[in-house]
Amino acid sequence: MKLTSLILAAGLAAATGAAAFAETATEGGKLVIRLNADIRATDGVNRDGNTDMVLHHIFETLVAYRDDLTIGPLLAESWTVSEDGRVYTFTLREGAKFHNGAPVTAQDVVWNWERKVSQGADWFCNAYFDGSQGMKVESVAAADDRTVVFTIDAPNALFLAQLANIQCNAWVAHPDSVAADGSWKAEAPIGSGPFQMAEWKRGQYVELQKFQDYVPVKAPMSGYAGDRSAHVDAVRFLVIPDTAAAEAALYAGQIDVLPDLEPANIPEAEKNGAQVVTGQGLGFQTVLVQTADPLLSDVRMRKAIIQAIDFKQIAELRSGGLTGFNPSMVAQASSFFDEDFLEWPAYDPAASAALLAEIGYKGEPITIQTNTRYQSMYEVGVLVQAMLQASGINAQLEVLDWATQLDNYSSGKFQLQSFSYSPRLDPSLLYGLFLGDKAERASTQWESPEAMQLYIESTQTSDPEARKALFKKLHALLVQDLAVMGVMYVPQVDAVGSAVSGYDVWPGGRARGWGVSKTK
Amino acid sequence: MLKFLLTRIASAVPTLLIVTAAIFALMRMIPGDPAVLMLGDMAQPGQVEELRQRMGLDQPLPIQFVTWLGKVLSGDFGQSIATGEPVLPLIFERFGVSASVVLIAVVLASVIAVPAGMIAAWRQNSLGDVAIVGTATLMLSVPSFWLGLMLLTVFGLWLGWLPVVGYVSLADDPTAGLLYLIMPVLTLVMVEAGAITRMARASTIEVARLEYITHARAKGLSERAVMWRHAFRNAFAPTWTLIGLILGSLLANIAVTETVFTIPGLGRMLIDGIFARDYPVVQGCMLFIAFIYVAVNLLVDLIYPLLDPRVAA
Repeated sequence: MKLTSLILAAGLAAATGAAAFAETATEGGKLVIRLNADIRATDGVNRDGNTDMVLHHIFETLVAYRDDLTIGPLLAESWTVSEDGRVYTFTLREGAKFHNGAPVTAQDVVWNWERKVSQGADWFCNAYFDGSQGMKVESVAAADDRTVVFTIDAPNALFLAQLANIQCNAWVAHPDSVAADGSWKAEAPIGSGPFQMAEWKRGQYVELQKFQDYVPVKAPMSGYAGDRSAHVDAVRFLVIPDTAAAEAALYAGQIDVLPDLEPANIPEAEKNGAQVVTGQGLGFQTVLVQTADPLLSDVRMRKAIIQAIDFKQIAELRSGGLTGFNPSMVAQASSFFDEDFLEWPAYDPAASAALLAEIGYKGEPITIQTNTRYQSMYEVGVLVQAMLQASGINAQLEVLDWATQLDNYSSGKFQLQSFSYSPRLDPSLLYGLFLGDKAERASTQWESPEAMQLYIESTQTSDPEARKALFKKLHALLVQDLAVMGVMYVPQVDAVGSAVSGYDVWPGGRARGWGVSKTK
Repeated sequence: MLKFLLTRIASAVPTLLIVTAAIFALMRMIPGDPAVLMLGDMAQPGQVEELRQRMGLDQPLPIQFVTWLGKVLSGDFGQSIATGEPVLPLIFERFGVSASVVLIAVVLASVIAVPAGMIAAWRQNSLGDVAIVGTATLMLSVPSFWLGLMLLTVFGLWLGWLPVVGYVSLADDPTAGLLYLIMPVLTLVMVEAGAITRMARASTIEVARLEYITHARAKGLSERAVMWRHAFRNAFAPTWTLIGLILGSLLANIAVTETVFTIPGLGRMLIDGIFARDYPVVQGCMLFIAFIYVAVNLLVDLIYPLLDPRVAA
């Protein structure tokens, strides 16, 4: 990929202007967004990041994340919570319609919920709502056409967060999206979002048309919440697997939005007339440690490793200065974040060497697993290896393909891994991912009954200040245990064509086609 | 001829059976679990095992193999793990895309390279020969992904003559379809023409040294008549075999070109399948490619006697 980028860069440097093959941009027009792979399905159950991004243009959840990661209105214009914290009453947005013209009713919400729940483990988010992870939705009922009532077993701070969870796709579809035999109509799903399905040409593109009768919620656009009015006539999600080709397509005017530009390529993009939009992200770049490994089970060894790695420099290099080092599970983009979450053993090679001598380290090899599919994981792996070797730690790099590395992560077969997590929009969700018992779940990274108790408390506490205090306690425990080495939250870097206006990134990381215009 | 045909078809059956077993074994030997990949870092405790059960991956390997083979023999290549779509229709759809690129490229490469190789041979050691051989060697040495990106940069980006990304089927819109095919076809033509040119040259030189060519010259025939009427058929026969091999291998190796030019062909589907450990897709694609390879080479063998009657004898 490096070679291809260089070749393209050389070509681009000589280019005097991007000749546009694409049709001339007009008001309205079609916004073309790059997908690096095709979507999997349209039912919201068989999903990945690309699938979620496309489907959230067609469908709407009751509530959604705002830019600041608080929960805002979407299909529900308002909601109330009972005093005991168990009953959530949502009022649906006035005028909300499906793409077939039918009004969105509370009965539709109930129907969707029951359909999702009936899919059992196929809908992986069922585990968040069926009591197996603490929270149980006891009932969902339509009080009237515009009022739907969710009752949960006990107060839970994550209920709204999980309803808004992008990956859960707990959106509302019209029942006609399902055929008479109960199968999902993959080519013609009917939602209530600002765009409706026009064509899914598998392996090539997904084209959505503006839904002319869309009535937005009366709240400003923020994250996935608020006003989702479309300004373009259509959005095409074009599958371009090769990044170099996607960059060339942007500079040639054939696509308008290139999500996830490598920070190192920002100057090149700007030189070619593209606008670069950046912001804080939530993808957590880490160096995972196998605490069950005989050598790494000693917390002093983990500390020696940490003191040998200049995480600040790695974060600076990898993000192009767009974000800083963050070892905690509370991202800079989170409203819970403050400087206390940056506490971590400082980079100190001398102290590391002294600690290694104290432990009696005799040059036993430590393998860092990484892959070349994700450039950030590879580069972090290389940098960590170099820094460890410079401090006298016999670090070896093992470059695997992504599937193999993920399998090793899942089964706990590694010593160190350069690994990235997809965005979790609430710190509790991230803590829940790391904490546990390795005997029950091999991908558990941090075994600490005390931390587990604090995590559970954080899911049951609604008051933001109280939750923040719990997160601080959790971070203090992490600093003590050193069970996970956080590096940074990968910043959002999207490149857009010069004809595009109104496009912005947000911590959720998925590109949005609403609120965006194309001008001449 | 019929016996020859039947013998060749019969010999293809064990080949395909070995291929199926090898593909199945290789896929299972590669580390990486499709269920883990499907769920990614969102996997909840127990979900991976449940998914593996539903995929039938918890069964012993011999049972998985026999089940798969039985279905394949009845025309059911299974469903994609990633998308849930039936694999065989997907393969046909994607094969049509790849075949259109490969066939045009191989025909064009042959039309250019065979005469070029023969002319180079006929004028061996001349300036023209050196130029043709030099160009062919250069083309052989250029990696297809590099060439593709260079074409994309020059014709797509600098000059803006051709689309950089996207694909339009020839069946949907022949004019636009051809526009989208120019660069990928050109990439394959330039890479493959080098090999064909060198083979055509080498076999023509060999034929030109034979006594019957000297005899033809002695009869007073013109050089053009000697070359095209007497030398061409015999010189072309080995090149024809190479063209068959190239045709088969291109169908398997077109993935890089398809990725660079965003062509939704069989090669890209195979690569995506390998990354996703989508066993049914990979096994189906590989089996289909092996079948095409065998079929193309069978066709080449059947046509060969027309070029060189000694083979049929």
